[in-house]
Amino acid sequence: MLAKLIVTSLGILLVFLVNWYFLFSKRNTGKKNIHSFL
Amino acid sequence: MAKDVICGMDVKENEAAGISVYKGKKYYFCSTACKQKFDQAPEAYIKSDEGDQDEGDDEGELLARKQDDSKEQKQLEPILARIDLPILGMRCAACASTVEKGLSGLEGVDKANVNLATNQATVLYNPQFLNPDDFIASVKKSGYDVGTSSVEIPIQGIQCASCVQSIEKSLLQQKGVVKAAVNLATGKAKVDYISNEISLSEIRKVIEDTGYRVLEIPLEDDMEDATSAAREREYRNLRNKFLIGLALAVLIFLGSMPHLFPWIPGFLQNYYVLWVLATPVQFWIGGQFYKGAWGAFRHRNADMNTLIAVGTSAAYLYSVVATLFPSFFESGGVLPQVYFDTSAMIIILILFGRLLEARAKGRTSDSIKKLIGLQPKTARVFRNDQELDIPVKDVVVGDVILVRPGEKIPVDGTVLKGESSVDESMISGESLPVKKRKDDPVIGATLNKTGSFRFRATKVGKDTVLAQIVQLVRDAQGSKAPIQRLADVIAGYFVPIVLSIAIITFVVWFDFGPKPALTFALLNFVAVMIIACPCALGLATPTAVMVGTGRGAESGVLIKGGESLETAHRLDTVVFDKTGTLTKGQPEVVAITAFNSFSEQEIVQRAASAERASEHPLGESIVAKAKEMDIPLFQPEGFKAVEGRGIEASVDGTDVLIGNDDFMQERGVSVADAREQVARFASQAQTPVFVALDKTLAGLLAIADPLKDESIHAVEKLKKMGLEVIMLTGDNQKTAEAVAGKAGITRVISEVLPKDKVEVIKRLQDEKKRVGMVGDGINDSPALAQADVGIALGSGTDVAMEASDITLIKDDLNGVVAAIDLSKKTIKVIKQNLFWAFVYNTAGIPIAAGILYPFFGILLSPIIASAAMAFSSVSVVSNSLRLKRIKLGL
Repeated sequence: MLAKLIVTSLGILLVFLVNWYFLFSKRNTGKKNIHSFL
Repeated sequence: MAKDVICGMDVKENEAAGISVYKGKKYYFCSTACKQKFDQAPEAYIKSDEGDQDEGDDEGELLARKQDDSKEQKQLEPILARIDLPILGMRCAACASTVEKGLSGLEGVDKANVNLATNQATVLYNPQFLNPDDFIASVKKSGYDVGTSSVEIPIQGIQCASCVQSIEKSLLQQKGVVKAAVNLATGKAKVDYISNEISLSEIRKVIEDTGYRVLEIPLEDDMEDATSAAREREYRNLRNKFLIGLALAVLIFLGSMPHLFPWIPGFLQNYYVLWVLATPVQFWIGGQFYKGAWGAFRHRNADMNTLIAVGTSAAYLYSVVATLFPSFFESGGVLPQVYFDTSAMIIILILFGRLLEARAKGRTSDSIKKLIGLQPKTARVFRNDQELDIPVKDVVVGDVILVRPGEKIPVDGTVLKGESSVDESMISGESLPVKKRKDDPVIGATLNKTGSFRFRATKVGKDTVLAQIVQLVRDAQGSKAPIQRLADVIAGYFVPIVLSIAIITFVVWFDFGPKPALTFALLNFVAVMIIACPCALGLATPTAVMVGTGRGAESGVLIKGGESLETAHRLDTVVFDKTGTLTKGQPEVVAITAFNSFSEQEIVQRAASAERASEHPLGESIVAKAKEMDIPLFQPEGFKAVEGRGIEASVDGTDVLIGNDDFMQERGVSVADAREQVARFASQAQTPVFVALDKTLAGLLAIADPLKDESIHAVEKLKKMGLEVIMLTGDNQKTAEAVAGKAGITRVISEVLPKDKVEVIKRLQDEKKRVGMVGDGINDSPALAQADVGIALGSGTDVAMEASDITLIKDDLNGVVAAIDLSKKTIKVIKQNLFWAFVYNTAGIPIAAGILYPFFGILLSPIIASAAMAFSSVSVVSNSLRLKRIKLGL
């Protein structure tokens, strides 16, 4: 049970971190340019 | 202890190699060479010696003084310096943005711009905070390298350790010098420098100003070659890696598909053998993807490198585990399948795309080389009443130079003696030779045609018009915004989403899955990553670009690389150069008016016969007219050309005079009858030429540079496509408008000096326009490089073609329409390809995540994985091939 709890929390944290790091950071320039392509 | 005033070395008075007394003061020297130098010009050294004594530690004081000098300016605003760095190892737009971000992040950098096409970074920075070393460190930190040149210079007169120091110090104070090490034993200085910033002759001057003699210095051309040789090495390295990788990948592929290739020997099917074959492909050949992914990661970016690195690593590691611990998989009821072929094939396909790109890119710097090559290598200079042939780089301002007919003018200057006409078309674009007399300016690299003359050099080296054009082209190439590839943009979203799904899969299987939960969670986590890696991604862009450029070539449109294709579809403005682009660039007789009952036939026959001996372009146009009208010509007698006025000759017993108004009046020919016609021709931008036969006005020829046949059609098409069409010319407003009106162009930018063309393009770009520039001359090349897409005519100069992104071989302006249309269609195909590359894999993600398991007990099977790979690859390739058959908007 404890293992599941730890894995679940870690998973949520990781998903949050990945998305924040790559997508919701101001320094990501990919976002700025996407409209010019799509 | 005394100080040697020449080299700064400390000398014990009793051990000095030489002593001189000057103005009652004793000076001690470390060597006889220093003493000799001092004795030749003691004043020069005493001053600096006194300065040194007053200032104490010279270096610190020097800096303080420099700072004092600039204090006032500094208070207003920091003085920014600019440096251009050649960057090595960039392969994609993301690489460029990684380097750019690294440079921009340095404190003291005002602006950093990295251009993928020219592999060059341009940085505006505050030199008080930063020096070139910091930039090199930053670029290296981002995972790339700065292409510095290295040179060994033998120096005469290095006597002591202090000489070494003073040379090194003065070299390192120069902006472009990265490293300077002088070897006392060999008498050689090894200098690492950035060739864009400082030239070899400048390095030589620095050393000589310090008081030493440079024995010999390698030629500047050789150093230019060294830079391109470094690029060539990089390309060859990439190609070799690709070829080795291809051989390995084919073996792995064959070994992994025994059901397709039953003749494959058994040992190749062994998982361990496949592992051994796949490892170098993954880490050595694919190493650049890891490097790129890490660089992007550090800047919070996920790009194609990340996708490749993560995807192929997942496949590779999964396969390694399947090879080493098959029981781990069997315990979860999954077949221990390996995916070495998947990771190897993806790496090789993507490398192939980059190889193609690198080859196209390699030619960009050739434009600069060709421009430099326009300057003659030697100049005939008068020194000490002697005529000497010396290398052009040794010409100094004030030298008197002799130029003979047919020779190129070596540097810029002012005519002192003699008369000639000079073909300046390579610089000004104007096809008619320009008359040069005393006090007229001449431009280096232009071609002297008829006479010989002497001129005084006023501008040499970096100050000449040609050198400025070179600089403009360099600047323009450096300021072009790097385009971010579509695949990179998609990867920026795809990677984090896939990572998220994979993590969620792991958690769900761990929490709710059957036993053994960890095995299932791990297997499905990796399965998501593997299936998500779009195998056809490597094919999506290169196949479309290859087929698209091939289709372009069939229609006479040569496209330099994927980038130009990607940019051309977004153009909204097309700027045409006038002379030679919209017009034919060759004068033609466009109208003939006869007077005094002479016939047109007769006028053309006499005039053309007389002009047969002339080399003047206006004369040639009259001869061409006669040929066109199929008129037989006579042999002229007593031909005489009066420079700048006209010609006279006797043709079949008739005295023929051809020339301008002044010439006719000088010879007593009345031209009053033609006044009205002359005014009319002038208003239509036509040059009137009078023809008199036996001193009677016979006719008036209107000579003009007519529009090309297809100009009107091409302009109309472009307008229909929604583009704004602009004409750019050095002509006056009235003439320009007359020509533009005929071509159907409403916006005219006239009276633009050749060097300002690039400014016009910049201004349009500042208006947020995406500008395509169409031109043919050397004077157009900076503008061609500056424009978002530069289009050069195949009939134009080599330099213009090198500076441009697209070349129209057929010299047909409809090619502009075709190029933009092709770009639009290719981009559409690339977008579809990317869709097909991602769609099967994306569809496979839920299966890999195990969505079917609760209902059918299906986990990601190798069949699903290879089907996704095959489907997407086939869709992408066949979609790209469609481009072969498209019709371009002609």
